[in-house]
Amino acid sequence: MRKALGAVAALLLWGCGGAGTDVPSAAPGSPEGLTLSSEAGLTRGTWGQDVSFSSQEVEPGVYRLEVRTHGLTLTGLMDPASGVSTLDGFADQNAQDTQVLDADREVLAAFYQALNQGLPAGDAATPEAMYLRRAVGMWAQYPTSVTLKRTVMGEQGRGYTMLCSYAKCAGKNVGSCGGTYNWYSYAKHDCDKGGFDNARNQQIAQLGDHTSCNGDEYYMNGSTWVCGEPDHWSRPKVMGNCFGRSGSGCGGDTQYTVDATNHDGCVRNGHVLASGWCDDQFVSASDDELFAPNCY
Amino acid sequence: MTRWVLGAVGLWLAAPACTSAVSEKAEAGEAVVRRFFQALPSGDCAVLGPMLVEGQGLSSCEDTVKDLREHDLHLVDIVEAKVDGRDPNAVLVRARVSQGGKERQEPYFFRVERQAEGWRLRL
Repeated sequence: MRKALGAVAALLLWGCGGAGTDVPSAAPGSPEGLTLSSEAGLTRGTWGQDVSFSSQEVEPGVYRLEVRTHGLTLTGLMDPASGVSTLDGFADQNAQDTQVLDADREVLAAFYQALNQGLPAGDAATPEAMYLRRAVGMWAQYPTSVTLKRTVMGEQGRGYTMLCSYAKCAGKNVGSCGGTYNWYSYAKHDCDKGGFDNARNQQIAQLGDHTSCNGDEYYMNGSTWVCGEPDHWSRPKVMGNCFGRSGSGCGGDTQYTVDATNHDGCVRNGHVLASGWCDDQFVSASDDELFAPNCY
Repeated sequence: MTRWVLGAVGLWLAAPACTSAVSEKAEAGEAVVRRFFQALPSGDCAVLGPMLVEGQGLSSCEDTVKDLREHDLHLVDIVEAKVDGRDPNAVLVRARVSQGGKERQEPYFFRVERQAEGWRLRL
């Protein structure tokens, strides 16, 4: 498909020409821009004028995903039963390699939120819609430093480790913890501040969907919960905004895993989403996001 | 049919010039990455600064260099360099790098952009 697109684009372009800088200037303002159509084994649609998408079951249990936005085509072929997915991304116009940049992440993150609102949550969505949502959630966090063409393998116990029990507090998956916490020690990453064992690169986290503040998390400052994110404090307590869940914030799926927790522990601890220091956590968390089962 | 033949002939005629321009850009991008990492141990922003994209939201040369040196980031080798399919003024450089003396499992995808002053690395 990619080669065919490339050949067609090349013939159409004739000469060197090539694509100009083609990044989005603004994302649609609301999820109302989402149009969805579903038939057996196929979900497709558009989001505003920025995104068109489709996800189709091409063989039993095998799904082909495609998202197009502002000159960028993202594709995935997912075989969840085998735990294998092949991902790719390239320029529409010439099928050459490109990167996910800040402007792309903005559009994809907003599109992901629209899918979260527009599709049934968790396993209630059709499989092709659920895997599309997961892949969009992953692409919305894609670091510029990681190539779009990848094979992601996912196998429980090797590729990902579930932390569903830590997503609960006071026996509940959602809602206030009422002061009874179930701490996970530790969310951790490595970076310029030090390795995984450095206490400044670790957080003691209450995972799960229990609270949030203005779309952010809370961290403990002395004996007070403060809205926001710590920046390399020594093992602060953190909670909220679905800490540990695959995808950014509280997406439509509920996979709480070790790698997703560590990725949150990086991008919510003084590093931006696209930070090169967190891209190894992102790579580790990719299979969790695509393949791990929902906790509830 | 004629349209396809014309297209193919046009592509064949244009190919050498295109290939040359594309390969010059790729070489320029690759050279910037190599030069930057060769100069990185010095930590000298008088040398390194002009190789970096500057602008709003980007770290200063001093901060970038400090981060890279603290993380002990080194270039092992360049795997390939290609012009960005969406931006003819950007080159994507796929490189093997090491951190803390250990080679990273996945190559790092650097971005080099052509600016008025020449090709610069975006970090």
